[in-house]
Amino acid sequence: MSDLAISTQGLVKVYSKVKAVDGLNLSVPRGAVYGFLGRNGAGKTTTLKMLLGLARPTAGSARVLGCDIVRQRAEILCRTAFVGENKALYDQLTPAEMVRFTRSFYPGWSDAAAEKCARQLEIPMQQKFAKLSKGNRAKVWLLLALGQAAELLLLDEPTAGLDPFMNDALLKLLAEDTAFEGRTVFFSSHHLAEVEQICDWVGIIDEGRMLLEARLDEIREHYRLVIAAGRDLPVGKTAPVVAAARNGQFSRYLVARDAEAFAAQLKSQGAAVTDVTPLSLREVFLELVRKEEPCTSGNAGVTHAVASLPF
Amino acid sequence: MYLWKCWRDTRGSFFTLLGALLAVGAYCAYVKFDPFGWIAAKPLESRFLWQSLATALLNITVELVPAAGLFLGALGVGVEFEKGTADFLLTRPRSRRYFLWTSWGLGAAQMVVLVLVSNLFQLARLGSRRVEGPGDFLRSLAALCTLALLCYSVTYVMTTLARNSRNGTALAILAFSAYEGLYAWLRFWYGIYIPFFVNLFESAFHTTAGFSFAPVAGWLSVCLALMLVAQFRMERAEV
Repeated sequence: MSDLAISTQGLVKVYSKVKAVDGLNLSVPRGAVYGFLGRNGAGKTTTLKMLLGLARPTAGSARVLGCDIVRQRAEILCRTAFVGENKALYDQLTPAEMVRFTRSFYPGWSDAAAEKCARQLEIPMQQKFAKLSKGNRAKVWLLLALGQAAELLLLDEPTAGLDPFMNDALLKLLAEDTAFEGRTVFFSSHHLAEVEQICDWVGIIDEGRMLLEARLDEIREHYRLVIAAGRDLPVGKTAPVVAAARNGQFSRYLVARDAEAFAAQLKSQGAAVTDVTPLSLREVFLELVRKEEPCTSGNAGVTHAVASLPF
Repeated sequence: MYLWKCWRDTRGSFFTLLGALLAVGAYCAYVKFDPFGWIAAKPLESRFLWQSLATALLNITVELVPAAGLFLGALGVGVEFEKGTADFLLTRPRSRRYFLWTSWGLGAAQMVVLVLVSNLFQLARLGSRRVEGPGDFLRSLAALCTLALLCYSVTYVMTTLARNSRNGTALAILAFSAYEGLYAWLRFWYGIYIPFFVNLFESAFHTTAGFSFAPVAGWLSVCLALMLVAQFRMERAEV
Protein backbone atom coordinates (compact mmCIF):
# COMPACT_ATOMS: atom_id res chain seq x y z
CA MET A 1 0.00 0.00 0.00
CA SER A 2 1.33 3.40 -0.99
CA ASP A 3 2.19 5.92 1.72
CA LEU A 4 0.53 8.57 -0.38
CA ALA A 5 -3.19 9.26 -0.20
CA ILE A 6 -3.00 11.33 -3.37
CA SER A 7 -0.29 11.46 -5.98
CA THR A 8 -0.36 13.13 -9.36
CA GLN A 9 2.24 13.14 -12.10
CA GLY A 10 2.17 15.81 -14.76
CA LEU A 11 -1.59 16.27 -14.45
CA VAL A 12 -2.96 18.56 -17.15
CA LYS A 13 -6.45 19.87 -17.79
CA VAL A 14 -7.19 22.08 -20.76
CA TYR A 15 -10.57 23.78 -21.25
CA SER A 16 -10.80 25.03 -24.84
CA LYS A 17 -7.56 26.98 -25.00
CA VAL A 18 -7.14 27.59 -21.28
CA LYS A 19 -4.77 25.41 -19.29
CA ALA A 20 -6.50 25.17 -15.92
CA VAL A 21 -3.97 22.66 -14.61
CA ASP A 22 -0.56 22.51 -16.16
CA GLY A 23 1.61 19.52 -15.30
CA LEU A 24 0.71 19.29 -11.64
CA ASN A 25 2.81 17.04 -9.43
CA LEU A 26 1.22 16.50 -6.06
CA SER A 27 2.03 14.15 -3.18
CA VAL A 28 -0.28 14.00 -0.19
CA PRO A 29 0.91 11.64 2.56
CA ARG A 30 -1.63 9.40 4.25
CA GLY A 31 -2.90 10.83 7.52
CA ALA A 32 -1.88 14.38 6.61
CA VAL A 33 -4.02 17.47 6.76
CA TYR A 34 -2.94 19.04 3.51
CA GLY A 35 -3.70 22.66 2.69
CA PHE A 36 -4.00 23.18 -1.04
CA LEU A 37 -3.45 26.88 -1.51
CA GLY A 38 -3.77 29.10 -4.50
CA ARG A 39 -5.31 32.30 -5.77
CA ASN A 40 -8.73 32.34 -7.40
CA GLY A 41 -8.46 30.49 -10.70
CA ALA A 42 -5.16 28.83 -9.78
CA GLY A 43 -6.54 25.38 -10.62
CA LYS A 44 -7.50 24.10 -7.15
CA THR A 45 -11.10 23.20 -7.94
CA THR A 46 -10.21 21.69 -11.31
CA THR A 47 -7.62 19.49 -9.59
CA LEU A 48 -10.20 18.33 -7.06
CA LYS A 49 -12.70 17.61 -9.82
CA MET A 50 -10.17 15.48 -11.67
CA LEU A 51 -9.35 13.55 -8.52
CA LEU A 52 -13.05 12.73 -8.10
CA GLY A 53 -13.77 11.92 -11.74
CA LEU A 54 -15.90 15.02 -12.30
CA ALA A 55 -13.46 16.16 -14.98
CA ARG A 56 -11.22 14.09 -17.24
CA PRO A 57 -7.50 14.86 -17.26
CA THR A 58 -6.15 16.00 -20.62
CA ALA A 59 -2.78 14.44 -19.80
CA GLY A 60 -0.86 13.00 -16.89
CA SER A 61 -1.92 10.52 -14.27
CA ALA A 62 -3.13 10.51 -10.70
CA ARG A 63 -3.87 8.01 -7.97
CA VAL A 64 -6.18 8.50 -5.02
CA LEU A 65 -5.79 5.98 -2.17
CA GLY A 66 -3.79 3.88 -4.59
CA CYS A 67 -6.57 3.86 -7.23
CA ASP A 68 -6.25 5.28 -10.70
CA ILE A 69 -8.59 8.25 -11.09
CA VAL A 70 -9.72 7.26 -14.58
CA ARG A 71 -10.11 3.50 -14.25
CA GLN A 72 -11.11 3.09 -10.59
CA ARG A 73 -13.48 5.97 -10.08
CA ALA A 74 -16.13 3.93 -8.25
CA GLU A 75 -13.67 2.65 -5.66
CA ILE A 76 -12.33 6.15 -5.07
CA LEU A 77 -15.84 7.48 -4.52
CA CYS A 78 -16.56 4.72 -1.99
CA ARG A 79 -13.58 5.69 0.12
CA THR A 80 -13.62 9.46 -0.33
CA ALA A 81 -15.84 12.21 1.04
CA PHE A 82 -16.19 15.51 -0.78
CA VAL A 83 -17.32 19.00 0.08
CA GLY A 84 -17.94 20.93 -3.11
CA GLU A 85 -17.28 24.53 -3.89
CA ASN A 86 -20.78 25.76 -4.69
CA LYS A 87 -22.56 24.15 -1.71
CA ALA A 88 -25.75 23.45 -3.67
CA LEU A 89 -27.94 20.55 -2.55
CA TYR A 90 -31.56 19.55 -3.01
CA ASP A 91 -33.72 22.51 -2.06
CA GLN A 92 -36.78 20.49 -1.11
CA LEU A 93 -34.98 18.16 1.27
CA THR A 94 -34.13 18.87 4.90
CA PRO A 95 -30.65 18.08 6.26
CA ALA A 96 -32.19 15.06 8.05
CA GLU A 97 -33.53 13.79 4.73
CA MET A 98 -30.21 14.49 3.08
CA VAL A 99 -28.57 12.32 5.73
CA ARG A 100 -31.04 9.49 4.97
CA PHE A 101 -30.36 9.90 1.27
CA THR A 102 -26.56 9.98 1.58
CA ARG A 103 -26.40 7.18 4.14
CA SER A 104 -27.88 4.77 1.62
CA PHE A 105 -24.77 5.02 -0.55
CA TYR A 106 -22.25 4.22 2.19
CA PRO A 107 -22.24 0.95 4.13
CA GLY A 108 -19.76 2.41 6.61
CA TRP A 109 -21.87 5.48 7.38
CA SER A 110 -21.40 6.74 10.94
CA ASP A 111 -24.54 8.09 12.57
CA ALA A 112 -22.48 9.04 15.62
CA ALA A 113 -20.15 11.23 13.53
CA ALA A 114 -23.08 12.84 11.75
CA GLU A 115 -24.92 13.53 15.02
CA LYS A 116 -21.78 14.97 16.59
CA CYS A 117 -21.27 17.25 13.62
CA ALA A 118 -24.91 18.36 13.59
CA ARG A 119 -24.73 19.15 17.30
CA GLN A 120 -21.42 20.97 17.27
CA LEU A 121 -22.20 23.01 14.19
CA GLU A 122 -25.80 23.70 15.32
CA ILE A 123 -27.34 22.58 12.04
CA PRO A 124 -31.14 23.00 11.80
CA MET A 125 -31.88 19.43 10.71
CA GLN A 126 -35.58 19.87 9.99
CA GLN A 127 -35.41 23.00 7.86
CA LYS A 128 -35.56 22.71 4.09
CA PHE A 129 -32.23 23.24 2.37
CA ALA A 130 -33.65 26.10 0.29
CA LYS A 131 -34.29 28.06 3.47
CA LEU A 132 -30.84 27.55 4.98
CA SER A 133 -28.27 30.33 5.07
CA LYS A 134 -25.09 30.02 3.04
CA GLY A 135 -23.17 29.12 6.17
CA ASN A 136 -25.64 26.41 7.15
CA ARG A 137 -25.47 24.95 3.65
CA ALA A 138 -21.72 24.64 4.00
CA LYS A 139 -22.23 22.91 7.33
CA VAL A 140 -24.66 20.40 5.82
CA TRP A 141 -22.09 19.51 3.17
CA LEU A 142 -19.51 18.94 5.88
CA LEU A 143 -21.96 16.88 7.93
CA LEU A 144 -22.61 14.62 4.94
CA ALA A 145 -18.87 14.29 4.33
CA LEU A 146 -17.96 13.48 7.93
CA GLY A 147 -20.81 10.99 8.26
CA GLN A 148 -19.31 8.88 5.51
CA ALA A 149 -16.36 7.99 7.77
CA ALA A 150 -14.24 8.06 4.64
CA GLU A 151 -10.50 7.48 4.49
CA LEU A 152 -9.98 10.73 2.61
CA LEU A 153 -11.78 14.04 2.88
CA LEU A 154 -11.56 16.34 -0.14
CA LEU A 155 -12.74 19.76 0.89
CA ASP A 156 -13.08 22.60 -1.57
CA GLU A 157 -13.17 25.80 0.44
CA PRO A 158 -15.33 24.26 3.15
CA THR A 159 -15.47 27.39 5.29
CA ALA A 160 -16.79 29.71 2.59
CA GLY A 161 -19.73 31.67 3.97
CA LEU A 162 -19.18 30.78 7.61
CA ASP A 163 -18.95 33.40 10.35
CA PRO A 164 -15.70 33.43 12.39
CA PHE A 165 -17.27 31.51 15.28
CA MET A 166 -18.58 28.72 13.06
CA ASN A 167 -15.42 28.78 11.02
CA ASP A 168 -13.50 28.05 14.17
CA ALA A 169 -15.95 25.33 15.27
CA LEU A 170 -15.70 23.66 11.89
CA LEU A 171 -11.91 23.71 11.85
CA LYS A 172 -11.84 22.34 15.40
CA LEU A 173 -14.19 19.55 14.41
CA LEU A 174 -12.07 18.73 11.40
CA ALA A 175 -8.88 18.73 13.43
CA GLU A 176 -10.43 16.47 16.12
CA ASP A 177 -11.90 14.16 13.54
CA THR A 178 -8.60 13.72 11.76
CA ALA A 179 -6.60 13.31 14.95
CA PHE A 180 -8.84 10.51 16.28
CA GLU A 181 -9.72 8.77 13.05
CA GLY A 182 -6.35 9.19 11.34
CA ARG A 183 -7.89 10.07 8.03
CA THR A 184 -6.35 12.25 5.35
CA VAL A 185 -7.76 15.69 4.71
CA PHE A 186 -7.09 17.54 1.48
CA PHE A 187 -8.19 21.07 2.08
CA SER A 188 -8.42 23.62 -0.70
CA SER A 189 -8.50 27.23 0.38
CA HIS A 190 -7.15 30.69 -0.12
CA HIS A 191 -7.59 31.57 3.54
CA LEU A 192 -4.09 31.14 4.88
CA ALA A 193 -4.98 31.60 8.53
CA GLU A 194 -7.27 28.56 8.59
CA VAL A 195 -4.74 26.47 6.73
CA GLU A 196 -2.10 27.43 9.30
CA GLN A 197 -4.56 26.54 12.04
CA ILE A 198 -5.10 22.89 11.10
CA CYS A 199 -2.79 21.78 8.29
CA ASP A 200 0.53 20.02 8.63
CA TRP A 201 1.33 20.01 4.91
CA VAL A 202 0.84 22.73 2.34
CA GLY A 203 0.95 22.84 -1.43
CA ILE A 204 0.87 26.18 -3.21
CA ILE A 205 -0.43 26.18 -6.75
CA ASP A 206 -0.54 28.97 -9.30
CA GLU A 207 -1.57 28.89 -12.94
CA GLY A 208 -2.06 25.16 -12.62
CA ARG A 209 1.50 24.46 -11.51
CA MET A 210 2.76 23.40 -8.11
CA LEU A 211 5.03 26.11 -6.80
CA LEU A 212 5.76 24.67 -3.40
CA GLU A 213 4.95 21.53 -1.47
CA ALA A 214 6.31 21.18 2.03
CA ARG A 215 5.56 20.49 5.66
CA LEU A 216 4.25 23.57 7.42
CA ASP A 217 6.78 23.13 10.23
CA GLU A 218 9.55 23.06 7.70
CA ILE A 219 8.37 26.35 6.19
CA ARG A 220 8.23 27.99 9.59
CA GLU A 221 11.64 26.72 10.65
CA HIS A 222 13.73 26.92 7.51
CA TYR A 223 12.18 29.15 4.86
CA ARG A 224 13.79 32.58 4.61
CA LEU A 225 13.58 35.60 2.35
CA VAL A 226 17.01 36.77 1.29
CA ILE A 227 17.32 40.21 -0.26
CA ALA A 228 20.56 41.14 -1.89
CA ALA A 229 21.87 44.05 -3.92
CA GLY A 230 24.37 43.56 -6.66
CA ARG A 231 24.92 43.16 -10.35
CA ASP A 232 24.53 39.92 -12.30
CA LEU A 233 23.13 37.97 -9.38
CA PRO A 234 21.54 34.65 -10.37
CA VAL A 235 17.73 34.53 -10.49
CA GLY A 236 17.35 30.85 -11.33
CA LYS A 237 15.39 28.47 -9.11
CA THR A 238 18.17 26.04 -8.25
CA ALA A 239 18.07 24.44 -4.81
CA PRO A 240 17.74 25.74 -2.17
CA VAL A 241 16.07 28.69 -3.95
CA VAL A 242 12.31 28.19 -4.34
CA ALA A 243 11.57 31.53 -5.97
CA ALA A 244 13.73 34.37 -7.18
CA ALA A 245 12.98 37.78 -8.64
CA ARG A 246 14.98 40.82 -9.58
CA ASN A 247 13.99 44.44 -9.52
CA GLY A 248 16.65 46.89 -10.52
CA GLN A 249 19.77 46.07 -8.56
CA PHE A 250 17.85 44.19 -5.86
CA SER A 251 17.27 40.47 -6.01
CA ARG A 252 14.85 38.55 -3.77
CA TYR A 253 15.23 34.88 -3.02
CA LEU A 254 12.85 32.58 -1.25
CA VAL A 255 15.20 29.99 0.21
CA ALA A 256 14.01 26.62 1.51
CA ARG A 257 16.97 25.84 3.76
CA ASP A 258 20.49 26.95 4.68
CA ALA A 259 19.65 30.60 4.16
CA GLU A 260 22.79 31.78 5.92
CA ALA A 261 25.01 29.66 3.68
CA PHE A 262 23.13 30.94 0.63
CA ALA A 263 23.61 34.54 1.81
CA ALA A 264 27.32 33.85 2.28
CA GLN A 265 27.48 32.47 -1.24
CA LEU A 266 25.87 35.67 -2.58
CA LYS A 267 28.32 37.76 -0.63
CA SER A 268 31.17 35.79 -2.17
CA GLN A 269 29.79 36.83 -5.58
CA GLY A 270 30.06 40.49 -4.57
CA ALA A 271 26.44 41.01 -3.47
CA ALA A 272 25.43 43.07 -0.47
CA VAL A 273 22.90 40.98 1.47
CA THR A 274 20.49 43.44 3.05
CA ASP A 275 18.07 41.07 4.74
CA VAL A 276 17.58 37.44 5.74
CA THR A 277 14.07 37.19 7.16
CA PRO A 278 12.00 34.27 8.45
CA LEU A 279 8.62 34.08 6.75
CA SER A 280 5.11 33.19 7.72
CA LEU A 281 3.01 31.02 5.41
CA ARG A 282 1.22 34.12 4.19
CA GLU A 283 4.48 35.75 3.21
CA VAL A 284 5.73 32.63 1.49
CA PHE A 285 2.46 32.45 -0.42
CA LEU A 286 2.66 36.07 -1.50
CA GLU A 287 6.30 35.70 -2.51
CA LEU A 288 5.45 32.73 -4.68
CA VAL A 289 2.29 33.89 -6.42
CA ARG A 290 3.17 37.55 -6.87
CA LYS A 291 3.10 38.46 -10.55
CA GLU A 292 4.68 41.90 -10.41
CA GLU A 293 7.57 43.17 -8.44
CA PRO A 294 6.20 45.89 -6.18
CA CYS A 295 9.41 46.28 -4.20
CA THR A 296 11.71 49.08 -5.21
CA SER A 297 13.99 49.07 -2.24
CA GLY A 298 16.01 46.56 -0.35
CA ASN A 299 13.73 47.03 2.66
CA ALA A 300 10.64 45.76 0.90
CA GLY A 301 11.07 42.25 2.22
CA VAL A 302 8.16 40.97 4.21
CA THR A 303 6.32 44.25 4.22
CA HIS A 304 5.98 44.59 0.48
CA ALA A 305 2.20 44.53 0.66
CA VAL A 306 2.20 47.59 2.88
CA ALA A 307 4.99 49.28 0.94
CA SER A 308 2.99 49.05 -2.26
CA LEU A 309 0.06 51.02 -0.82
CA PRO A 310 -0.32 54.48 -2.40
CA PHE A 311 0.75 56.68 0.49
CA MET B 1 -32.80 6.04 -2.04
CA TYR B 2 -32.08 7.76 -5.33
CA LEU B 3 -35.41 6.43 -6.55
CA TRP B 4 -37.02 8.03 -3.49
CA LYS B 5 -35.31 11.32 -4.28
CA CYS B 6 -36.51 11.17 -7.90
CA TRP B 7 -40.02 10.47 -6.64
CA ARG B 8 -39.79 13.50 -4.34
CA ASP B 9 -38.71 15.64 -7.30
CA THR B 10 -41.40 14.49 -9.72
CA ARG B 11 -44.38 13.63 -7.56
CA GLY B 12 -45.76 17.19 -7.68
CA SER B 13 -45.94 17.21 -11.48
CA PHE B 14 -47.15 13.62 -11.57
CA PHE B 15 -49.98 14.19 -9.10
CA THR B 16 -50.99 17.40 -10.89
CA LEU B 17 -51.26 15.56 -14.20
CA LEU B 18 -52.98 12.59 -12.59
CA GLY B 19 -55.35 14.90 -10.73
CA ALA B 20 -56.26 16.68 -13.95
CA LEU B 21 -56.98 13.34 -15.61
CA LEU B 22 -59.08 12.12 -12.71
CA ALA B 23 -61.00 15.40 -12.57
CA VAL B 24 -61.86 15.07 -16.25
CA GLY B 25 -62.78 11.42 -15.67
CA ALA B 26 -65.04 12.34 -12.75
CA TYR B 27 -66.73 15.02 -14.80
CA CYS B 28 -67.26 12.66 -17.74
CA ALA B 29 -68.58 9.93 -15.45
CA TYR B 30 -71.01 12.37 -13.91
CA VAL B 31 -72.23 13.49 -17.34
CA LYS B 32 -72.42 9.91 -18.61
CA PHE B 33 -74.29 8.35 -15.71
CA ASP B 34 -76.07 11.45 -14.34
CA PRO B 35 -76.65 9.86 -10.91
CA PHE B 36 -78.95 12.60 -9.60
CA GLY B 37 -80.82 13.17 -12.85
CA TRP B 38 -79.83 16.85 -12.91
CA ILE B 39 -78.54 16.80 -16.47
CA ALA B 40 -81.58 14.88 -17.73
CA ALA B 41 -83.77 17.59 -16.24
CA LYS B 42 -82.04 20.28 -18.29
CA PRO B 43 -83.23 21.50 -21.69
CA LEU B 44 -81.97 19.63 -24.76
CA GLU B 45 -79.46 22.34 -25.77
CA SER B 46 -77.98 22.40 -22.31
CA ARG B 47 -77.70 18.59 -22.18
CA PHE B 48 -75.98 18.64 -25.55
CA LEU B 49 -73.52 21.23 -24.31
CA TRP B 50 -72.64 19.16 -21.20
CA GLN B 51 -72.16 16.01 -23.24
CA SER B 52 -70.13 17.74 -25.95
CA LEU B 53 -67.89 19.29 -23.35
CA ALA B 54 -67.32 15.89 -21.68
CA THR B 55 -66.46 14.22 -24.99
CA ALA B 56 -64.14 17.05 -26.01
CA LEU B 57 -62.37 17.09 -22.64
CA LEU B 58 -61.84 13.35 -22.66
CA ASN B 59 -60.49 13.32 -26.19
CA ILE B 60 -58.19 16.24 -25.47
CA THR B 61 -56.99 14.56 -22.29
CA VAL B 62 -56.09 11.37 -24.13
CA GLU B 63 -54.20 13.37 -26.70
CA LEU B 64 -52.49 15.42 -24.04
CA VAL B 65 -51.05 12.41 -22.22
CA PRO B 66 -48.06 12.20 -24.61
CA ALA B 67 -47.55 15.92 -24.01
CA ALA B 68 -47.15 15.09 -20.30
CA GLY B 69 -43.88 13.49 -21.43
CA LEU B 70 -42.60 17.00 -22.08
CA PHE B 71 -43.14 17.89 -18.41
CA LEU B 72 -41.85 14.71 -16.83
CA GLY B 73 -38.99 14.29 -19.29
CA ALA B 74 -37.68 17.70 -18.29
CA LEU B 75 -37.25 16.53 -14.68
CA GLY B 76 -34.57 13.95 -15.39
CA VAL B 77 -31.01 13.67 -14.19
CA GLY B 78 -29.89 16.47 -16.57
CA VAL B 79 -31.52 18.96 -14.21
CA GLU B 80 -28.83 18.17 -11.63
CA PHE B 81 -26.41 20.18 -13.77
CA GLU B 82 -28.81 23.10 -13.98
CA LYS B 83 -29.35 23.19 -10.22
CA GLY B 84 -25.65 22.81 -9.43
CA THR B 85 -26.18 19.53 -7.57
CA ALA B 86 -24.37 17.36 -10.13
CA ASP B 87 -21.08 17.54 -8.23
CA PHE B 88 -22.84 16.16 -5.16
CA LEU B 89 -24.74 13.41 -6.96
CA LEU B 90 -21.91 12.30 -9.21
CA THR B 91 -19.51 11.94 -6.30
CA ARG B 92 -21.76 9.29 -4.75
CA PRO B 93 -20.38 5.79 -5.29
CA ARG B 94 -22.75 4.69 -8.02
CA SER B 95 -22.30 4.58 -11.76
CA ARG B 96 -23.71 7.47 -13.73
CA ARG B 97 -25.82 5.08 -15.74
CA TYR B 98 -27.49 4.00 -12.48
CA PHE B 99 -28.67 7.56 -11.87
CA LEU B 100 -29.75 7.98 -15.47
CA TRP B 101 -31.77 4.79 -15.78
CA THR B 102 -33.28 5.04 -12.30
CA SER B 103 -34.71 8.49 -12.91
CA TRP B 104 -35.79 7.57 -16.45
CA GLY B 105 -37.43 4.38 -15.19
CA LEU B 106 -39.47 6.20 -12.58
CA GLY B 107 -40.64 8.78 -15.13
CA ALA B 108 -41.50 6.04 -17.61
CA ALA B 109 -43.57 4.27 -14.96
CA GLN B 110 -45.40 7.52 -14.24
CA MET B 111 -46.10 7.97 -17.95
CA VAL B 112 -47.52 4.44 -18.16
CA VAL B 113 -49.79 5.13 -15.19
CA LEU B 114 -51.10 8.30 -16.85
CA VAL B 115 -51.75 6.46 -20.11
CA LEU B 116 -53.40 3.61 -18.23
CA VAL B 117 -55.73 5.96 -16.37
CA SER B 118 -56.71 7.83 -19.52
CA ASN B 119 -57.26 4.56 -21.34
CA LEU B 120 -59.39 3.22 -18.52
CA PHE B 121 -61.81 6.03 -19.22
CA GLN B 122 -62.25 4.62 -22.70
CA LEU B 123 -62.77 1.16 -21.25
CA ALA B 124 -65.40 2.58 -18.90
CA ARG B 125 -67.09 3.92 -22.05
CA LEU B 126 -66.88 7.48 -20.83
CA GLY B 127 -65.56 8.76 -24.15
CA SER B 128 -66.88 8.75 -27.64
CA ARG B 129 -64.64 5.86 -28.67
CA ARG B 130 -65.84 2.36 -27.88
CA VAL B 131 -63.34 -0.19 -26.62
CA GLU B 132 -64.22 -3.59 -27.99
CA GLY B 133 -62.86 -6.12 -25.54
CA PRO B 134 -59.52 -6.50 -23.73
CA GLY B 135 -57.52 -7.02 -26.94
CA ASP B 136 -58.63 -3.65 -28.22
CA PHE B 137 -57.81 -2.10 -24.85
CA LEU B 138 -54.30 -3.60 -24.74
CA ARG B 139 -53.47 -2.64 -28.32
CA SER B 140 -54.62 0.89 -27.70
CA LEU B 141 -52.67 0.96 -24.45
CA ALA B 142 -49.50 -0.27 -26.19
CA ALA B 143 -49.75 2.35 -28.90
CA LEU B 144 -50.45 5.22 -26.52
CA CYS B 145 -47.76 4.10 -24.07
CA THR B 146 -45.24 4.00 -26.90
CA LEU B 147 -46.16 7.47 -28.06
CA ALA B 148 -46.06 8.81 -24.50
CA LEU B 149 -42.70 7.14 -23.82
CA LEU B 150 -41.32 8.54 -27.05
CA CYS B 151 -42.28 12.09 -26.06
CA TYR B 152 -40.91 11.49 -22.57
CA SER B 153 -37.64 9.95 -23.75
CA VAL B 154 -36.92 12.60 -26.36
CA THR B 155 -37.43 15.33 -23.76
CA TYR B 156 -35.37 13.38 -21.23
CA VAL B 157 -32.48 12.97 -23.66
CA MET B 158 -32.60 16.61 -24.73
CA THR B 159 -32.61 17.73 -21.10
CA THR B 160 -29.57 15.53 -20.46
CA LEU B 161 -27.78 16.88 -23.51
CA ALA B 162 -28.67 20.50 -22.79
CA ARG B 163 -28.19 20.07 -19.00
CA ASN B 164 -31.20 22.32 -18.57
CA SER B 165 -34.93 21.56 -18.34
CA ARG B 166 -36.20 24.57 -20.28
CA ASN B 167 -33.70 24.18 -23.09
CA GLY B 168 -34.31 20.44 -23.08
CA THR B 169 -38.05 20.89 -23.54
CA ALA B 170 -37.50 23.46 -26.28
CA LEU B 171 -35.07 21.14 -28.07
CA ALA B 172 -37.54 18.25 -27.80
CA ILE B 173 -40.33 20.32 -29.35
CA LEU B 174 -37.90 21.42 -32.03
CA ALA B 175 -36.89 17.81 -32.71
CA PHE B 176 -40.52 16.70 -33.06
CA SER B 177 -41.30 19.64 -35.32
CA ALA B 178 -38.22 19.00 -37.43
CA TYR B 179 -39.13 15.34 -37.82
CA GLU B 180 -42.68 16.25 -38.80
CA GLY B 181 -41.28 18.69 -41.34
CA LEU B 182 -38.97 16.02 -42.72
CA TYR B 183 -41.85 13.56 -42.91
CA ALA B 184 -44.05 16.04 -44.77
CA TRP B 185 -41.24 17.11 -47.10
CA LEU B 186 -40.34 13.55 -48.10
CA ARG B 187 -43.94 12.46 -48.42
CA PHE B 188 -45.33 15.34 -50.46
CA TRP B 189 -42.31 16.19 -52.60
CA TYR B 190 -40.78 12.80 -53.18
CA GLY B 191 -43.53 10.35 -52.25
CA ILE B 192 -41.26 8.69 -49.69
CA TYR B 193 -42.91 7.48 -46.51
CA ILE B 194 -40.80 7.39 -43.38
CA PRO B 195 -42.12 6.06 -40.05
CA PHE B 196 -44.19 8.71 -38.35
CA PHE B 197 -44.92 8.60 -34.64
CA VAL B 198 -48.33 10.24 -34.97
CA ASN B 199 -49.44 7.11 -36.81
CA LEU B 200 -49.19 5.35 -33.47
CA PHE B 201 -51.75 7.72 -32.12
CA GLU B 202 -54.06 7.22 -35.07
CA SER B 203 -53.73 3.47 -34.91
CA ALA B 204 -54.67 3.57 -31.25
CA PHE B 205 -58.10 4.77 -32.31
CA HIS B 206 -58.50 2.50 -35.29
CA THR B 207 -57.47 -0.77 -33.77
CA THR B 208 -60.34 -2.70 -35.30
CA ALA B 209 -59.00 -1.86 -38.75
CA GLY B 210 -55.90 -3.91 -37.92
CA PHE B 211 -53.02 -3.22 -35.65
CA SER B 212 -49.35 -3.96 -36.16
CA PHE B 213 -46.95 -4.18 -33.27
CA ALA B 214 -43.99 -3.46 -35.53
CA PRO B 215 -44.29 0.36 -35.16
CA VAL B 216 -44.59 -0.07 -31.38
CA ALA B 217 -41.44 -2.17 -31.28
CA GLY B 218 -39.71 0.22 -33.68
CA TRP B 219 -40.48 3.36 -31.72
CA LEU B 220 -39.61 1.68 -28.43
CA SER B 221 -36.25 0.82 -29.99
CA VAL B 222 -35.87 4.48 -30.90
CA CYS B 223 -36.54 5.37 -27.25
CA LEU B 224 -33.86 2.95 -26.09
CA ALA B 225 -31.40 4.20 -28.69
CA LEU B 226 -31.98 7.76 -27.53
CA MET B 227 -31.42 6.70 -23.95
CA LEU B 228 -28.13 5.09 -24.92
CA VAL B 229 -27.12 8.43 -26.41
CA ALA B 230 -28.06 10.08 -23.10
CA GLN B 231 -26.04 7.47 -21.22
CA PHE B 232 -23.03 8.05 -23.45
CA ARG B 233 -23.29 11.79 -22.83
CA MET B 234 -23.86 11.39 -19.12
CA GLU B 235 -20.89 9.11 -18.62
CA ARG B 236 -18.61 11.61 -20.30
CA ALA B 237 -20.11 14.73 -18.79
CA GLU B 238 -17.78 17.00 -16.88
CA VAL B 239 -19.02 19.09 -14.00
